[in-house]
Amino acid sequence: MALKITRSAVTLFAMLATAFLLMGCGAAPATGWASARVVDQIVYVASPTGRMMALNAADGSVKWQFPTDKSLGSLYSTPAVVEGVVYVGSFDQISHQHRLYAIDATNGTKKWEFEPGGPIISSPAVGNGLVYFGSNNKKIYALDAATGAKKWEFETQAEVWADPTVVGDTLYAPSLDHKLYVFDAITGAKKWSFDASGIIVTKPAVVDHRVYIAGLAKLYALDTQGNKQWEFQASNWIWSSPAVANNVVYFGALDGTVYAVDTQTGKLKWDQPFKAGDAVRSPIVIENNTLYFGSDDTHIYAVDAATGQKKWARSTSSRVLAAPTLANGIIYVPAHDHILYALDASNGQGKWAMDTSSGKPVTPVPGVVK
Amino acid sequence: MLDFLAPVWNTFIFNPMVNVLMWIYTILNQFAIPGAFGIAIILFTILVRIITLPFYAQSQNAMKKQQALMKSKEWLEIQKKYAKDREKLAQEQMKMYQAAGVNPLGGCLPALIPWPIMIGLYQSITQAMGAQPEQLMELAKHLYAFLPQLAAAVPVNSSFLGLNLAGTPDGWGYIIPALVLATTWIQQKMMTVPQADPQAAQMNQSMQLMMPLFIGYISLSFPIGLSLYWIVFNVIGIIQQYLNSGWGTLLDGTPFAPAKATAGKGKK
Repeated sequence: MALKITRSAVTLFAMLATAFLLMGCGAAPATGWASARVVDQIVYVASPTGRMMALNAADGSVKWQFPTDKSLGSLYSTPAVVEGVVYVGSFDQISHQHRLYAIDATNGTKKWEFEPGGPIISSPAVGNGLVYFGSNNKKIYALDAATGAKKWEFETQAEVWADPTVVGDTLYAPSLDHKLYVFDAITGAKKWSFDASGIIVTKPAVVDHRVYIAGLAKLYALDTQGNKQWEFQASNWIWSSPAVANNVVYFGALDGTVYAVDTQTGKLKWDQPFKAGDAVRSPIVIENNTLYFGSDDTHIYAVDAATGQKKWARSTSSRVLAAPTLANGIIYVPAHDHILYALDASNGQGKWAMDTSSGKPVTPVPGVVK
Repeated sequence: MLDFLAPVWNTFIFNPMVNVLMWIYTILNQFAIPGAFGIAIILFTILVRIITLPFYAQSQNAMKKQQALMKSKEWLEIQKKYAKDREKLAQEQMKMYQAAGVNPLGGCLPALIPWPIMIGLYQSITQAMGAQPEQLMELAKHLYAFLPQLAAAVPVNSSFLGLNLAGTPDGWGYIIPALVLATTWIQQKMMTVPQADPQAAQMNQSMQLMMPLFIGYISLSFPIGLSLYWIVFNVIGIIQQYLNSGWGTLLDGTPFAPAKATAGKGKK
């Protein structure tokens, strides 16, 4: 029998084993990390089945889904909800039909769609009657919010993943080409750019005539003309968009460190940075002197903004890459397995949870508060 | 269940591979060489081949010994003598292997070595390319902190000879899976050890068909960068095999030869 175990048989075994391994390692479908939005007691959230859902904020019951007959693919783009319209971009690995959709917020019907020719990861920003977003085709777009007609576009040197920020008539739009581009938001004329010496995947924060932007592991403070005021070196890449409150800028790094940096000096505010168990990609939300964010360590945290001390941490069913959204004392945050949590912001206790793939409630709410 | 394997895999296979690949890319990119990531994959594959050369030499020597034994008069005689008693035939063959100092599985190593390397390179390419955002995010955990220039080179430029190495084949890019299939078949055919046993010969024949088709098929759905690695790996293997054993059964005139052993054929 031994002689029949030939080289061919061993190769066949290796081939099959490899097939299984390759299917399982690194080839997982894109999952999406869109955060939820809450407007007028309605939660707008992406489902892993590639649909936008509108849920009643009180109990998570489904109001509508878009579309009903097909999938949009993966949704990394957090919806913008403005004047009764939901704007969201798609990343469809199967059909390769990546589009920005405008959906009626009241009933989930499509108003218009725009196909940029590349996946959309960045979340749209709305202002001046225009919708701004970036695409993997390296372009930044401005569309008419009412019709979807293209007003202007700008081509960068790499994919555009970060969410743009619009302040008045100025648009701040970073690219993976290491640059922050600043435009006249109406005409698309470039005002200036800043080279961050590394990929920019975070949404720029523009507060009190300062622009805060992260390039790789550095946080930069710029004036509104693009002149660097200071820079802060973090311990790992920064994928958590900076948030500013009370002259302090907060952000997380992919090694789990959360920093509080003085906006004037660029120096650390806390005695020790807060340390989560794994990467903090989730943008930080600040309310009532408390930071709320999720981590790859499958927890949602509430941290005292003044001291950096943990107020509470709630375990969840999966890693948390999306930003928490707060409304009426409730935190709404989808975990990476797309269970949407509604938690009491004061203590982390579960109000309700919903599996957005099935549209059914999850009881009891998974996880415990520590 | 196998979570404990991940740190071992990352420390000894994946992390070194992705850092070496990115390091080569970074150097090429500094000189603004077009298609730098494609060239980095080619250079990296050659490097891997050089590192694994001793394993190949050892196993190819084993294969040569095995081939010589199978062409010997004694071997062919016992095939005839015990044609109807397969158990006895197996015992006699094993005795001959032992007497000649040949390990019948000694030629397996070349077939096994590419697989973990391919998995590691597949992970390296997909994460370095960042076709999915989670992959690029994970890359931060694997690049060595003492080589900050690697992170600064992200995102890699995936363009190579008009192809997107991060994408799957389309248009004239379908030539890539065809080359994967062709080079896999050639190498497979060259490495085939002639078998006197009809069952083993039949299995050889099946493998010569299945293996290239399987690899060609999966290359349709994998990033072109991985297929590029596979083509270069095969071409180097073909050259190496030729220098060691000649064309083998490649030029015997049959596409999927059973390669039944007959005295006097093949390179000595």
